[in-house]
Amino acid sequence: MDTEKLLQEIFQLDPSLQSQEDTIRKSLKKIMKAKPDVAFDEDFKQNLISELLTLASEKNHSSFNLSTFMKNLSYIFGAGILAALAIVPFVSTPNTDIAMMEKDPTPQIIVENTSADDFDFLAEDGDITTADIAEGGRGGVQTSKMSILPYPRQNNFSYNYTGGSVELTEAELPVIKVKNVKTKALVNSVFKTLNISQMDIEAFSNLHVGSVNFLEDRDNGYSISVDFHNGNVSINKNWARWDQDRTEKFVINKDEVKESELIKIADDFVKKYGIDISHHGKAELEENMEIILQRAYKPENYRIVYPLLVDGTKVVNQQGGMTGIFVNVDLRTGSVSDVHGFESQSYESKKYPAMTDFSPIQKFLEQDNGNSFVFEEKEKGDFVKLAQPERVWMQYFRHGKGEAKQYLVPALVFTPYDTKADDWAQNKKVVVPLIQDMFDKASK
Amino acid sequence: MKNDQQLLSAYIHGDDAAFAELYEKYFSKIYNFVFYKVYSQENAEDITADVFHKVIENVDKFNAKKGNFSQWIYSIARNTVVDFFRKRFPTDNIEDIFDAPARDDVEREVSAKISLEKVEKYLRTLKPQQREIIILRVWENLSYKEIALIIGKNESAVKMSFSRIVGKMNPDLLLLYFTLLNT
Repeated sequence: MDTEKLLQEIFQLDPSLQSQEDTIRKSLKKIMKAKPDVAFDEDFKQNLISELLTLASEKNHSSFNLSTFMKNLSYIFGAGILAALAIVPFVSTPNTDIAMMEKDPTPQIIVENTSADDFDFLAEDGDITTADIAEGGRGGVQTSKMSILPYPRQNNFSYNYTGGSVELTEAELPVIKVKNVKTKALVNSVFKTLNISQMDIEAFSNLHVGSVNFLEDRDNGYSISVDFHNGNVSINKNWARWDQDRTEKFVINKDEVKESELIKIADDFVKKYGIDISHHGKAELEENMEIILQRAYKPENYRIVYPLLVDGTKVVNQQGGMTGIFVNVDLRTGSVSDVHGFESQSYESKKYPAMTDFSPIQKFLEQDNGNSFVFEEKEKGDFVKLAQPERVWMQYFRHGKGEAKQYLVPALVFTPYDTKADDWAQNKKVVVPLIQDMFDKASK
Repeated sequence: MKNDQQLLSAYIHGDDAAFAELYEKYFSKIYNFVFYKVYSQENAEDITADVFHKVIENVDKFNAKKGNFSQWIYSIARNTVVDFFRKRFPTDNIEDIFDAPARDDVEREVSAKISLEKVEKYLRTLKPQQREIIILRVWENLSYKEIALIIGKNESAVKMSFSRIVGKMNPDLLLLYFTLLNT
């Protein structure tokens, strides 16, 4: 509180006090100086909210609600993984000038702008390698440069882009970084609760919570696993409370399974447990049902995906595959066996120089691929047509110091169609990052 | 951003995180408010915890037509402090430490080691609510509007009280009050 401001305020309230101006000024200054230190103990504050939320939850809820539970975790554990609902200024504006980009009307996830030096998206020393890139379990070849997938370009066919030029107008585009999480909350309370006194927990330095599980204590209940290290949450069956009968009896017939039935099971689960899918698209089967049913082996589980949308734009992995909340439906029990893909939606963004010319991208798509890994010789002239691309966010991971940093990079995904090549080629989407430096390193 | 009433409503309808937001907003305010009345960290913590427990336990009794949440939670805090002193001094009506008799057992509990005997001599000239207004305005830097919400008066009445306290009270006495408060 400013003394002079307060003084003026007092005189305004009672002008007659101006005759005592000097005395009152001195008094006010001393009064303000006399303000005691009332700094509270942060541990007390943190412990109290944990206690209160437990009480609040007991009083307020007769049934479990995952969405509420997850929100509460963010308060109990501190800001981070589940601070998805934190309100921060939205400044990231993905390129909306690309004609084919369809905006989804779902609410925006809010992204915090940053100028922080530790954003660390593109290392200056050029140390980006394929080790940085998720290879979807296919393995990869170490190289000194980054690559655009499919990598390695193990194609015995050529791409033929037929979509026409794409207008790229923004000189800079935001790259989004998914904030990592570290929490020290719970460490002391866990040891206190378990009454473990055989070790001095204080002797360990910089302890953080790695992961924690919560078990629904009822028959056919679920467990929730929170992985702070990688910033994700998953739901699994609490197997100890499920019938272990593995007979050939199926609630849903493997030969007569319908996509709509699977989606309904997923939707019902999402609804029952209050899972917030407001930042995700409508549920869809991860793989095409027709293709699945043509296979000799009929699966017992199907994955339903609610595609993640950031600012209305899909997030894909580097193979162009969907990301989001995956709900696994078990035909044997006719129920959901697990749910994955809850990730921190606490984001920050930073702008980088972007591709403003489409021609290098087209040239890259149609260049000779080298064919260093040819599985099967094909007739010359085999090609895969690529249609006009869709604007997406591409997941990009960087690893180091025992942790993975996840970024969402603005990108174009090209989907093959009308191919004369094999089925394998048909599924190979090409995802091209629109950040200039990243593209340059990958395409050289 | 949701206002207090919306947060309270969200909590009542099952969103515990809304309660956590209210807690985040009011924790330090209530803690400070209580501390200035009891002048002891330990007692301030106990009472603050009591206040928030009471909020949860009585949330269904909150009536928005009778006042806003801010006024409600501060009144709970004020009453909890009164209860605290009532347990210690059953025969007196005490709202804060400055109303308490200068007894050794109280003095030992006061972290700031206030000389209650001296303070009492001067502070009995101020009513508890007047002390609240001065403290909330000068130390907590709350606006008159906020203070009005807390003590349940209108803004102009608070302004009038403030100028009256400052004007009518001997400035030396006022100074002594605050100085002794923190010695």
